[in-house]
Amino acid sequence: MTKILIIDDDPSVVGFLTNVLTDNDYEVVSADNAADGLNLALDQTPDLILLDIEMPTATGSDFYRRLRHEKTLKETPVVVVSGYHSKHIAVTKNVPVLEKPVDEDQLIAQVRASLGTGPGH
Amino acid sequence: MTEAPPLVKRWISERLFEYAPVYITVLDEQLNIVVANHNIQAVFGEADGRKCYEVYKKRDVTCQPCAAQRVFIDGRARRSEETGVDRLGQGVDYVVHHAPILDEDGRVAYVAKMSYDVTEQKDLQKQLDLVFNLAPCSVAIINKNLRIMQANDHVREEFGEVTGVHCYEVYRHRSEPCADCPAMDTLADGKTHTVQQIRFGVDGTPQNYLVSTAPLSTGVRDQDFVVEMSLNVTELHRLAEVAAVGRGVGEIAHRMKNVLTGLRGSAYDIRTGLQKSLPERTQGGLESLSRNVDRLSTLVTGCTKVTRGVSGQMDAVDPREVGAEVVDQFRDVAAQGGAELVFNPGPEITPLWMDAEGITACLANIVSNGIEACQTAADDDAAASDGADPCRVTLRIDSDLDQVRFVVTDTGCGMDTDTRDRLFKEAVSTKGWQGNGMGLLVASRVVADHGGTITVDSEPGQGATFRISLPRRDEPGVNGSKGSRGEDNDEDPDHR
Repeated sequence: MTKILIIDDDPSVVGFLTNVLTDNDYEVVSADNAADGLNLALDQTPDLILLDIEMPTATGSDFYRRLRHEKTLKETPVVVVSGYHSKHIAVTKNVPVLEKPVDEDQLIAQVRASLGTGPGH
Repeated sequence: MTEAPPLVKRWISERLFEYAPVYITVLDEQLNIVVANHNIQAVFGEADGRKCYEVYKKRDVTCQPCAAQRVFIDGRARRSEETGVDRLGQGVDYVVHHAPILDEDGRVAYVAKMSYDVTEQKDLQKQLDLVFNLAPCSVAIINKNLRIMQANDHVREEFGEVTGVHCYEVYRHRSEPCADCPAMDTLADGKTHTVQQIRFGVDGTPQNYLVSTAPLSTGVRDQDFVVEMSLNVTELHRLAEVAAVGRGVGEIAHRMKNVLTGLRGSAYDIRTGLQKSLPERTQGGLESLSRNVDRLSTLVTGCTKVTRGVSGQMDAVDPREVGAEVVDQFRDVAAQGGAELVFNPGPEITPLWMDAEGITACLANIVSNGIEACQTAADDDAAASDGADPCRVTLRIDSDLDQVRFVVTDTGCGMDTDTRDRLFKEAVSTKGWQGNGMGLLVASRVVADHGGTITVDSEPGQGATFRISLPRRDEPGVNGSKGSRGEDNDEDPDHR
């Protein structure tokens, strides 16, 4: 089963994304901060990471930079889920951004596109 | 005095009358000019045999009052300032001395009228008055008792009629001199001093002023007057605030989006829970709906407070009561969080005119942040140490003539420079989704509405100290003109 890691400090957001993804037959793991997120990523090698940018302590941008230095994770697709307009994001231009409030159809469409599975994966 | 040489004596008797750079005439009792020097003829025209008032004033009748006539009556010399008309019809300002010329019996036979021209000085004075009023800032002359002796139009526009009133009554609605008084500094050392001050206009609104004082003398005599120039820089402060609000709005929008995502999630859970007959999910959706509506409502209330200030209900309140209320409110919370909450109200303080609800909210926010900073520090240190000193949050109050200060110190986790610099300008939260970042933004707005200041000192790991200073003033909205105008018999010994 395709595994997706959610990193967001807001439990409402994590709960919502988790329900939408599990309803669409994805396996979900989640962390509420960047450090735990990186450990979980190293441990679970997810197929896709949904990443919030604005979190206390380390930001999503820090997480992204560290992720790209990990041999096993540097090719893992990342989708930024953020309340900030994309111009604020200190990650590379080819990282897709879902702006909050996220719509469930948009989310699934973006997840499929990033996984390269297209509709009806 | 030695006898002048004969040549000099002859020059004085024959030529001085003509050469002296003054106007000289001698009048008989009917005010006829019996003799006039050359300067008189040159400036006022033909004089010999004519009436004094015809020549000097181009009048047909005697002046009322006439200084020369009074000298003829009582034989006493007189000095006066007068304005005449020259032979071309132009005004001439001159200072005139009338001196009696006595006969052998001691009667006043003639009056000598000696005048010097002050037209240029008068013109200069008029130009200075013009500059005084046209200056693009407030200008006032203040005496050693701190009374305003003269003020330009700008001062009157912003503070009403101020002449004769103490500057501290006019500018800051106080009954005593301010502690940071630059005029007193200038009176003491004769040097220029500059300060930034909050002043209250006629309607009681606080305004930021840049104030410079300078000695008004040549330095020869004792320094008795100060010229004070002040520029209203409120608009500059406001523009800086607007720029900060712009950044704040971005932060708030971001928080709103998180809440909206949460709400969308709630809707999704309720809908899919019902569709799939998953009552637990439906129940979870309803709970998260309620949670997110609460978050949204807190955020909106915060925004409203930032835009409008708090209640704005101003009363004379004992600052120590406000402090005590906040400490009572948080004592249990602090104890639960393993922090010690200490209240040091200091000696008795006269009530301060303030929005008690707003200031209570400010202090509550800062104290609650301090307790959380203690908890964060405890979490960070949990593995490293045990048995260390308990983390402490202290609220201290002190006051002087000028202001009341609330100082909140915590020994918690502290903050970095970036957070510290943005603290009062943007919606900053270090608590992630749990904080809305509005607390200190609201606090800084409430304090600004009091004409006060809020500052913070902090280093990571070194705790934090917040200082709120509120200026003392009388009841707002009351014009400074209620001051004891005029009777300048208060030789305030304290003010040099």
